[in-house]
Amino acid sequence: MTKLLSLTIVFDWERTLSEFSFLDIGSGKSYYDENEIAFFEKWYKSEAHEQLTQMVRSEHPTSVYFTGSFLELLVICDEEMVKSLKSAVKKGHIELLGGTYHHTLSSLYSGFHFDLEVGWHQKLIKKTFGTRTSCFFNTENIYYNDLAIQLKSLGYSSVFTGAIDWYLGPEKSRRIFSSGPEKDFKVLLISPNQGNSLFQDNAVENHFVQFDSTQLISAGGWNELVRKTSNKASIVTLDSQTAKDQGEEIYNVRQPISGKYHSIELKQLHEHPLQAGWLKQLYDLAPSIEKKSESIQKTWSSLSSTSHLKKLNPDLNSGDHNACYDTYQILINILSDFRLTL
Amino acid sequence: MNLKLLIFGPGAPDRQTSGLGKAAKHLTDELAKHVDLTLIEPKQVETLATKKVDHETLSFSDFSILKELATVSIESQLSAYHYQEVTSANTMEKVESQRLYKQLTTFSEELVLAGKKTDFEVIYAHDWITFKAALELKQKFGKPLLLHVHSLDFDRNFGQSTSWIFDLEKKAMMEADAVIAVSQYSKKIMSTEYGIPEEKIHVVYHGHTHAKHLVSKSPFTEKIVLFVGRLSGQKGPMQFLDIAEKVHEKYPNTRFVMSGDGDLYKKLIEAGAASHIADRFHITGYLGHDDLQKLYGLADVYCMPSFSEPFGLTALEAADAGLPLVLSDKCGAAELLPEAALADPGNVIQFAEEIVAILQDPKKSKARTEAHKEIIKNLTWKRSASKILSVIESII
Repeated sequence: MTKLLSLTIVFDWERTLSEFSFLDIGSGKSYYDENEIAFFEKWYKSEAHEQLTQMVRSEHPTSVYFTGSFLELLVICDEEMVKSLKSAVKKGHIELLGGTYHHTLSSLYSGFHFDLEVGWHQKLIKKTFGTRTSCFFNTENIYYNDLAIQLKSLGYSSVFTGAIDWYLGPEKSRRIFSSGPEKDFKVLLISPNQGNSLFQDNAVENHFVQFDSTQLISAGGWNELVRKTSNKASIVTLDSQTAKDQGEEIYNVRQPISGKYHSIELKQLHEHPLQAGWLKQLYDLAPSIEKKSESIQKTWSSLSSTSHLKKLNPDLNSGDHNACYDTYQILINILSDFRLTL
Repeated sequence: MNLKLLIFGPGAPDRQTSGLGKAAKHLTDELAKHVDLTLIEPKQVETLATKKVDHETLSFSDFSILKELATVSIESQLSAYHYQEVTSANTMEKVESQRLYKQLTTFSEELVLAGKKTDFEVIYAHDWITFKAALELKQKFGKPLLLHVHSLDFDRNFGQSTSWIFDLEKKAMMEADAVIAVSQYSKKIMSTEYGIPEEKIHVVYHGHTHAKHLVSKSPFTEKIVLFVGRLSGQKGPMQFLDIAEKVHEKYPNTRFVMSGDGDLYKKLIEAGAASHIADRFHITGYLGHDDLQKLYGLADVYCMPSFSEPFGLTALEAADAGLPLVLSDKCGAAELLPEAALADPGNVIQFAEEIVAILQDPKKSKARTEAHKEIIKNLTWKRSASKILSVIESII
């Protein structure tokens, strides 16, 4: 049996908050580090540029999710790369994925916020690459039945999520399903552990493997990843896999599930008291920003990014025990300042 | 010829971040104008030494005495206030650990070693960490000993009177020639809880450093209730959160700010995050002098819910900045601030009602705050140092 493999690479830029103190509230100080562009350029050159170059030049197809935060700065810092990507997208060699603009958990917390983010992301992809996206990479691969309805209404035809063994039962080898409420909406189940177990189960034919940019480097980079996998599976586009699957098995998931593709569990992003407290305060503001300008909405949205949530969990910041608590205070100060703009 | 005074300073936390550190620094500066003074204190304070001290960090066996004021740094580091942090759990059982006692022993040995090399006529020791060494020197050389007690184990541990630190404080105060208390409130504890003869205890109130007040325009429509102090159990920071919630229930247009650092920093932030006032509850961490003055300028009322506060320098700072005060009824500074509202730190509702009363009627507070400003004008470290010199003269 020929195994089919589709690779997805995630590029996000984790914005650095400024040291926003209580006394900075109302001062007009930026919420993010004033040297952000320089920081991005340095990180981009060391971590992302080479990988993107290899992907653009590669003979093998891939799908890519660029967060809005990443893409905004890529456009500023590397116009040539944007052109190269645009050309690769046009050829069908690189498929761009839809997603949340600020890489947030909005699909769990606010339908309004989720719609906003997806809309902004679609607009940015259209403006930058002149194309639209049809497959959706949701933050942490969060999925549930109602999300399929929402995504279909936003123009998507498929989404990734995790393979829940106890749910799959006799269908445990299947990786492509239809959603419960939308029969022609595909649900693609990712392989955990960056596909380390990819070839252990011969019964599994379809494989969807995801890497973030850091993991890609750990794997030896794009070319090395392709070298390791291409002699064991055919690397194909997402469309190639979903088009071949004619089955109508349904992945009927009522409660949100996620799909782990890196070292962090979903619960580590929103269940710590600091994270829960922060998200509550942020989403308590949602009704009051519904009719505000896009600029204000984007500022609010950016504060819910998973990069901030990571910094609020002491388990993910073992080096500095006070860092999470300091970050929480900074965020509270920022939110107090933001309220003044409403 | 000047009197030769050997001071065992408190050192840590440090001169900037604690009332003990600030008071000891100001008093030392003033006393140095009148006596030949050698100051020996924990090493980490050395970087914050007074302008008069211009030497680099010295190894302990290599100390030198400067002409006017010598600061000798010692390698051992022990904090008078932060000893609860020595262990991960703040139980007295843990505090009374062998580790802490060993630290004190090492620290005292170094103090004694330094003291032996110093020519002095009187020993003047600040708070419990220096008492063991001070007693040893007194016994060895038969020189008079003056203790300055800024806070007691009884204050720091909610009325606890069964620890070895309590016993050390008691022994030292019993054997000292004189003891300085920072308030009548503290003197009463020494007398009733430690059994120290009242005639041996001299009350010398702290002075005050008059700051230039900054008029800050608040960006908020809400009124600000302020807490300034170490975030440790003694200061009642968790009480402040409870008080804040009650105040907010009765007076919703409020915002709450805690300035300070300490072992409850993380717990307070987590508790604040889970509170219904999470969006208006700020913890600034430690603030430097200028930022603290700005904060006083933004605040509308100052709250000090300490469970036991021998003095409470920040109450003077807040009063000097023109803030109406709601203080613990177990607070020494209240003896100098008769217009402050007092409340039982165990009674959250009473505290909240006093704060709300001030917020609802700021005009009524105006006369009170003006009265405090007049009182504070007369408070100087020079005056305090002069009283300490009188006590020293009485024991020579």
